[in-house]
Amino acid sequence: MSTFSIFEIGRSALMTAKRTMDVTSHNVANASTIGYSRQEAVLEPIIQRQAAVSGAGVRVIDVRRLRDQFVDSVLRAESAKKAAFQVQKDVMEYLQVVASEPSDASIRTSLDLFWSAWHDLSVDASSASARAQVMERGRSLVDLFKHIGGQIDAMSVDLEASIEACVRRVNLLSERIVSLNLEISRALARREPASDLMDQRDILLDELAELTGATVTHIAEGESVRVTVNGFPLVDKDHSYKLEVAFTLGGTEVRWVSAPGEYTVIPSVGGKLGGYKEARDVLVRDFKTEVENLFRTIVDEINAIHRNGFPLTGTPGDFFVTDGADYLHSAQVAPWIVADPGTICAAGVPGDPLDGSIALAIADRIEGDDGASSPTYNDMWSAIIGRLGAVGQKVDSGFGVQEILVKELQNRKDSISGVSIDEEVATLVRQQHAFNAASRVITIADEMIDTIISRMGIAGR
Amino acid sequence: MRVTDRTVERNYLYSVNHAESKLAKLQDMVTTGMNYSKPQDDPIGVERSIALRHHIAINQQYLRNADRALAWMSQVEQALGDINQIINRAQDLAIQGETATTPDDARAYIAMEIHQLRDEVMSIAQRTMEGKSLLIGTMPVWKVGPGLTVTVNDLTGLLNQLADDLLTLENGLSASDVSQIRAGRAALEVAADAVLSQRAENGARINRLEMLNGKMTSLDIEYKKLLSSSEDVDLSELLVRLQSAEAAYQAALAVGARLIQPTLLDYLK
Repeated sequence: MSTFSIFEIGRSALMTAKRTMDVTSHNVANASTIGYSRQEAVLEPIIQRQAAVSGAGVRVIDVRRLRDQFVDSVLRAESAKKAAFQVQKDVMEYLQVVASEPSDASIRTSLDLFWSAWHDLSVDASSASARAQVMERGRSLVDLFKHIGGQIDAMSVDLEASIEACVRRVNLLSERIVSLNLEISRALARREPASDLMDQRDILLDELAELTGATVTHIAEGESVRVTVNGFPLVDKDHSYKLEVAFTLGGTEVRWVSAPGEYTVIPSVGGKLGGYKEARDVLVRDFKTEVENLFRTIVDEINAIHRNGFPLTGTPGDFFVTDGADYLHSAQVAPWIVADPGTICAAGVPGDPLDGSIALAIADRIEGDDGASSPTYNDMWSAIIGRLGAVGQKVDSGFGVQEILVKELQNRKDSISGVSIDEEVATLVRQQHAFNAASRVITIADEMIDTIISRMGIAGR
Repeated sequence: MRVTDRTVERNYLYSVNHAESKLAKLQDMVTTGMNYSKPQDDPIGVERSIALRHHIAINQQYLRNADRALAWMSQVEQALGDINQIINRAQDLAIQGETATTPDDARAYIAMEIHQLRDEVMSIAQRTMEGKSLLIGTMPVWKVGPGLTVTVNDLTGLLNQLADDLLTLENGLSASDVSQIRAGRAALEVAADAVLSQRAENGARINRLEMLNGKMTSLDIEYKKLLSSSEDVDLSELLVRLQSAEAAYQAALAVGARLIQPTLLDYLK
């Protein structure tokens, strides 16, 4: 055992302290880096086997990345749900703005005014102003329905664009994850640090999961990952698969492309993409169908009564005209009525300008006061709004719950992977002390050797 | 659990955002004065709002119809009163003409007055309301409530009969034919009864409509009260809630300011 071994032990302590301080500084530097996982130097005593001494110093054997894959996977699943709710919540809020209830500028108001106009006409069938009023209010009712139809369509178009953007992003992420997979396995093979690369990959995996609700499987201690959506692989180690999207009559199809030109439709996607799909295929479409049904009922029923009446001028005809298919786009008050409100059929018998019985019959149909058991238009509208409110409430509270859940899980993740400045400073102080102490050890060893070299054997000089 | 800076920051932001959105919602309620601004705030309340607003609109239209019907009916009442006066005068004249002592030339003057009265009946028959014939022809039908319509009688028959009766009387007077004068007077008797029964019917209708009108007016107030109690905020309660939300928000901010600033570095020398 050489006296110089103290130098060697001291040197190892100094080197180790410096390296651990590097790790700590790296942590502090990345305290606010998104997706960064705290790193920790793993120390090990150097064992001296030959001599009967305790050891030969210390060394850093690994820089460990602190991460819990279980928390990661739960957090990803919940974040995906949160993203889906977020999209649906926004869409429902928009639809409620479109419906503009409760207010005095909604379909209900317009219907009430239309009904009133028929009433005024029924007691004043020969009046040009009463006729003009029916025509104008009919037009504003149609305009309002068309306006709502237009806004719903614009929303659908927006959603489609968002879905396409989502899919493009998913494909880009898959490709980048594959290239990171390759880089990480190469780094590991060369025994190079891969922690920061893994962090980068985890950020991308988080985003991919949030977009699609994908699940991540780690292969060979994190060397590589496999990402699947509803069982379909997006990333499989060193190979990525593309998604495509198509908007068909049945709804939005998210397609998994196995080979160029060959695809399988993924039955269920989650995350933001799933949220957009649900919003477009269910929320917006249901609302549109309901509004369209109401409008169709109004147009068809009023026409059926109107057709049986008699006008002041011209021949009996419809009040509204449509192309018979797409009511929300094609319906309008008949052009001959707009040109001459005298052609409104208010009378139940021909040739009596004072008879307003058909006008009254139309008013009674609107108000459901004609003995028919079908719901009134106002009831139908009220049901649409009620459902809109209920669904809005559901997704809103779903989002609220998910928000708290994700926050808690992020806290849990941070409790493992997050950087605490206080903790790092404490570590830093500890490492500084270790460094100082190691320096002192070397100084003392130096003094010892100085004693031996300079002061020994000089007795009686 | 290990609490990192990010955890503190996240919790802080969440509580501040939460307090802020709560505050914003209350502020929205105060400024709009409404308990809910979109269906999801209170789906049942909004459905109730829709129903009440609809009922108010419907009721107001019925009220307007009833007002128009009432105006029409009071004009009819006026006309029937005028006709009644004419009949009374004609009856007086007939009695005068019937008397044996009345000379023939006096009868001729009476006949002339009867002629005038007949013209007056004709002109009453031509009266209009809102440009439409008040008494003869197709009469309007007013809807004054669910399943409730009112109309007025077409008086063509009555007026024609009256004109005929007056003509009989006039001819009798011109010819000094006492028996014909008597027959004319008897016919006027019948006409007077008919007018009376029309007036009674019309008056009863007016009464009924006025009652209905009163009911609908109070219903209107009732509906508006209900709508207000469902939709409108209780301002004093809301302001108290606003104050406590404000306190919560400021507390959240204050806590954040104390928690986020210090680190170990502040205490190490």
